[in-house]
Amino acid sequence: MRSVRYVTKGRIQKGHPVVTVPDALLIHVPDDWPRTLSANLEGLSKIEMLCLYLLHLRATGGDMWDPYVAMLPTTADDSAL
Amino acid sequence: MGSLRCNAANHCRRFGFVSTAADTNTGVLQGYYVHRNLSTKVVAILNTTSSWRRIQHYQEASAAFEHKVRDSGLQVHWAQRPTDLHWAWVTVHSRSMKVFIPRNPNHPLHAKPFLAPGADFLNHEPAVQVEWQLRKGKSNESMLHIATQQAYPRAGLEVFNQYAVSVSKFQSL
Repeated sequence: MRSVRYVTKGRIQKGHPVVTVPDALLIHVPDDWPRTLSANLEGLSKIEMLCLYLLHLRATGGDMWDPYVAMLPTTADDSAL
Repeated sequence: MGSLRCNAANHCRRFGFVSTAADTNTGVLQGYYVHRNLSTKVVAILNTTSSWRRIQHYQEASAAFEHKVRDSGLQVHWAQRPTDLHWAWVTVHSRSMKVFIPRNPNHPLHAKPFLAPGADFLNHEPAVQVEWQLRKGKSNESMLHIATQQAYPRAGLEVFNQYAVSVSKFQSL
């Protein structure tokens, strides 16, 4: 079960946003990543590159995504929920 | 939680577990972790279902990812352990979103999977209707909105996302 969200008061009308995320917070693989890594990653798909990038963020830390990464389930079993 | 949405739903209930959204990556992955302790007899039953075959497909895809990383020669400490690679694979495949913006193919989000921190804390519900939108905020910054296409009439209701269908419902700036 994820960190579910409930309507806390009033109602939400049709068409209204229920979640808003600034573009700057979205996690996607930068075009120039991984510039400094020595590896042949050409065989990896876009979504596999995102997997690697997430691991990179988790390991390197020190950026604005730390709180998010810290809130992710820590095991693959829990991640599927 | 709702019941497992697959052909084996009755068998699943008989063996005392439920799952959600088996017709999505999230549901299938979730199903895998619920199913893996089952007996061979139950597995044989599940083998006749498309959902179970998809679970096996995801297992194989995750293993293939690990092989690719190993073969790539990537020498970093954070991509060495199979458990870490599997965690990343499952996390991304159960939480990432992808949108297509044909009118603006140069948009940084076009056809690229991404994670939306906060938005993926919502549970998946196949029947819920949502629309993803890119809009300008008050400070002219671009924002991703997940807008409900159905009303939530009272407090206490759980708010859901629909991770699978949003490509066709995407609105860009």
